[in-house]
Amino acid sequence: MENGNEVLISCRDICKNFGPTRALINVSFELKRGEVCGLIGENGSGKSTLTSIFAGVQPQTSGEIFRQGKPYKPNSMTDAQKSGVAMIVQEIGTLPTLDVAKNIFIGNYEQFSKGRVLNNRLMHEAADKILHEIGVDDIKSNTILAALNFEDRKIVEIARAMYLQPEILIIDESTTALAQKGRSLIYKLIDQMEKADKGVIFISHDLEELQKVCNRIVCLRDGVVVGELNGADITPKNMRPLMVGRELAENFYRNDWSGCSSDEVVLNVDHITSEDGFVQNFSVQLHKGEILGFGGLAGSGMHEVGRMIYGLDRKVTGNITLMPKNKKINCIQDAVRSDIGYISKDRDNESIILNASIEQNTVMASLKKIRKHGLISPRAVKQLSDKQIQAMSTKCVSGKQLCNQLSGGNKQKVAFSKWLAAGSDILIMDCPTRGIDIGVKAAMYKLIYQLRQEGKSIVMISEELPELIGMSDRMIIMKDGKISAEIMRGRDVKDTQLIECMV
Amino acid sequence: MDNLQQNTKVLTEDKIQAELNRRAARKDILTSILPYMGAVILVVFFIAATGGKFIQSENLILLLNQCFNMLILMTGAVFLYALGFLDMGVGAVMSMSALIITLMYRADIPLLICVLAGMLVSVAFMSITAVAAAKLQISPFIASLCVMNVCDGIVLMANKTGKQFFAYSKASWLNEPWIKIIVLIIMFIAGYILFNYTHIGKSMISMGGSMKVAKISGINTTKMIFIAYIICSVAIGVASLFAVVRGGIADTSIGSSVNLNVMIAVVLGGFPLFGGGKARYQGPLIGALMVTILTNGLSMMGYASALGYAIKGILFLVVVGITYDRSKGKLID
Repeated sequence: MENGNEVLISCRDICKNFGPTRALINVSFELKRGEVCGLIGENGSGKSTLTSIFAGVQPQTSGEIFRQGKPYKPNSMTDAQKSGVAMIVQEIGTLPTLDVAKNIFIGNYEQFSKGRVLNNRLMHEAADKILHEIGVDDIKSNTILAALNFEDRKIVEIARAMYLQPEILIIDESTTALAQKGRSLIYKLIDQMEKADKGVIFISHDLEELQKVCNRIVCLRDGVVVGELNGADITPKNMRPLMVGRELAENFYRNDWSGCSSDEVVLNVDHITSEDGFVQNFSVQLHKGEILGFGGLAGSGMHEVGRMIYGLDRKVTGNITLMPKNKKINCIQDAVRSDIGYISKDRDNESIILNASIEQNTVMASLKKIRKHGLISPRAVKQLSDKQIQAMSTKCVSGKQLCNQLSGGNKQKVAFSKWLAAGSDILIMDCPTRGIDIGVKAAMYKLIYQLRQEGKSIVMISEELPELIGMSDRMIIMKDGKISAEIMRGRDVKDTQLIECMV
Repeated sequence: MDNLQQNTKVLTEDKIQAELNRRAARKDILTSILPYMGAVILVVFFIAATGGKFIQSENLILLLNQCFNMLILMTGAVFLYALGFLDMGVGAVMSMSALIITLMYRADIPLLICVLAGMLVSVAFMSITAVAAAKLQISPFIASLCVMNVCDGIVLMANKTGKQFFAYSKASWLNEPWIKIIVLIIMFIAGYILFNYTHIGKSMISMGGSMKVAKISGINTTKMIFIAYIICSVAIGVASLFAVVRGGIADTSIGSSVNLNVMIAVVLGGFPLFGGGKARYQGPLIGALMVTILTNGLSMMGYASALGYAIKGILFLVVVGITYDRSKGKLID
């Protein structure tokens, strides 16, 4: 244990700029042997940027990094891996057209080569062995990555990190995307690293999870280190104010417990069946001024129901009718014309255009509404967009700023703005607070509640039980494509009660 | 004391931020004026290199004639590029349209009707690509290659037994510079308004950014794809008329190097090759002007057109190199 205090990696005065955005400002940090250091902070606070510099993805603008006391300047991820620094990334970091084995050993094919020929058999055997060791025998080394689902692809990535046996492992928000199987794998991996006296940097938004696995917490805010917690001080209660920079009310959901809304039905979903037949004869009614929560496990069909209601996925039977006008909704354009909006779970691919400006994104669903004599004036666009930026307090330089420069929470605000600008009366939100930090989350809940008070109707599909219980007037719990329970809002609704209906 | 230190620190931080903002603004300005600057530099260079011959009126008229067809074509092709569709069929469809106009005009059908027919034929052929792109999920690039071959084949066949001449004398007024300038101005203004001030243009720019998001936001993407091809076909019809009037023969030479020139012009004009948010309508037109100035100036200086190709290639790389946005904060796309 004499080297127990050895610093594995440290950095001094690191700065990183992306164009005019300052992602890191004079950050100093160190990781010692045996430490599992949680990195927390709101979206866009610089966590991923810092770790990606350590992992050799990009260089810092200024400042120095030391690896066990020696200057360290990795040119690439492979370079960093050779120095014992490996990373599991936030977004999916695998190559879809290669098979599992090739993905696990990527960058390290030499060991399986004879002369210049790659010995595929040897590589597949080695890959199968690794997969067996971590207990995922159901993934085969010769499967093409694209054939695996999201979670299994992530597990391949974990397998890669385990194979590399790094001294420093960086895990960047990987658990948000994972269900229990992948999560426990990651915890096992962290545990192994800790026991072997190596170092882990763990980025996550899940404060309970951080409390469980970390022995140190470093908090970043706007690219600056703002605090540190050790040992028993690591509690969600201590972490929250550090991240946001102010005290948050303990209960940031709505405060009233009356689940009553009007009896007026605004949307009638009548016996709809999905194309693959998984969701069959599904019926539900949405009332005016109601937050209707949808809960269920992955694969329960709740996301598909949302997509069908909006007309994004096809339905083979049944009707979706806008009341009281008695208008049928059959496709997206019908929905938009009837003032229905949809916020997808897949924000970057389905909700906003990354290489377009905030303005362009905000007015996208209102183009026909802001026409005057067939023409759209730049002033009308700017007015509409600026109004939303102000109302949502979106953090940006101006409406002309491109969305790919925004942080996750602000991107989600733009996604909301699009439908608020269009004046939607019915909003279908699929995981509206997914991957969003606590500060923005609280603002979102406030907004959703405010929309309800204005008489808008909201379908909120959520994977988070506290959010579901805290926000919904009525909860529909789904299982195997069917409704397994309908629960009214109440103080005594417990998450265990919901889980029972889900499994 | 501590407080003072803190204050100075904050001040320097502010300065750094201000400097970074300035730098980003400068780059934005650079990207937006680069095409104009390039055009001006080229003009100045050629004036100097040819001892003023470059801006003599004969050459200016020649220059107008040389770039006119491409400019007209561009007023419509911009819409396809805004969608992010690379189309290889534009040139061949132009030959096809020229053929139809020639055949009909020789049969003493009024010119206006001939041009309308040319446009309709263009719409028909471009629609093949549009159907492939909007309905069958086939890449418009691949589909347009097929359209190119079909059109070229038909035009070649029509010219097999004898060249299809367009009697120059019959419509020589179409070669007047002022007619051309008026037509160009009308086409440009119509295109500019459509692109910047209507939901059609704005929808197309959004679609170039992300087809999926545009669709989920309620934009009728199928309809918009067809509209883009129709707008482009109208431009093809007009351009082919002037091309055949000037060239006199309706064969494949009319559209032979059009596709490549269009693409170079798009890039030189600072237009994102794969569509999206930063698309500016006037960009590709400036680009087209630059390509022509370059070709014209080089030939005036007595260099063979072969060298022109090489220079065009190098320029292409340089401009893409300067304007391409590398400051992506994303690690793995």
